[in-house]
Amino acid sequence: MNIIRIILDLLSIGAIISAILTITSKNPVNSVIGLISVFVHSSTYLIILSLNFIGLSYLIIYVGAISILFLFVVMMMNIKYIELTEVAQEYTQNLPLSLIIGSLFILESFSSILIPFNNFIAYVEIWNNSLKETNTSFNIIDNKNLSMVDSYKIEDFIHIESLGHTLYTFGLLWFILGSCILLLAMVGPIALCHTPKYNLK
Amino acid sequence: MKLSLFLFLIGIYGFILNKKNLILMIISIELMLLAVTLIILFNSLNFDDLIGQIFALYIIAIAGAESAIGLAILVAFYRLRGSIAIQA
Repeated sequence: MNIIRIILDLLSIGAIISAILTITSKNPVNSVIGLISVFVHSSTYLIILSLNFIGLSYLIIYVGAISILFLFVVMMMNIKYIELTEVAQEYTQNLPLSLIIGSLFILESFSSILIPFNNFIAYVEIWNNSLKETNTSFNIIDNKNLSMVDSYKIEDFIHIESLGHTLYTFGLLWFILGSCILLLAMVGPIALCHTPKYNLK
Repeated sequence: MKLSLFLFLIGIYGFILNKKNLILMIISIELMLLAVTLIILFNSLNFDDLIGQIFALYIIAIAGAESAIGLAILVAFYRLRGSIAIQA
């Protein structure tokens, strides 16, 4: 599938260009719009790679909640423009540190990751062909490790169903822990931004 | 894989270059979380394992909590100081 490969390359180039625009723009509204563009590109990338549910939840959670929260805070705070242009002048001061850390990261990542980069498209094509054969469903019959429940052997699960089975069966404790973290994320901003008024009549 | 490594590198650059601007630092943290999640998802596709996608769902929840608390700290900082520039 040559067309899919070209589309994936275009999506990744678009994501990288909009990420660069995100970190280099002076106005924070433009950088938040660049962040939205990065999220849309990467979620489309995931949907094309047949990770449908995770791509859609990226689109809903990141674009619909987090980026809009950023946009709301940026537009609420009414920042002076002079401050931001002063900030942008400090690029050359921080450039050597960023070059050192970036080169260290490049060295580390390219010397320690064992998966070859060139074969990734081949893996993707194998994955897509296997999905075509099984009619876009995860086939758990082949998985020998999951033989503890017999009803696994009868049914085929689509993507979201298999995610839900694994999430509610094997990762239940982590699910409850994540809900506690989300509760903390609700209570924390209220406690931080609440200014009590003592002189109520 | 290249996409996620480049996104993580851009996140690091944004975190270092915009040291005075708190909003862009939080945005760079979001970019780095996105890149890490993409690495986990691509590896879960390569190895045909479902645990990576479960882990990606956990990371989405953690990223939401992190951005909410970071923006609350930002608003509290702005109320306290009157500007969002960090004094070096």
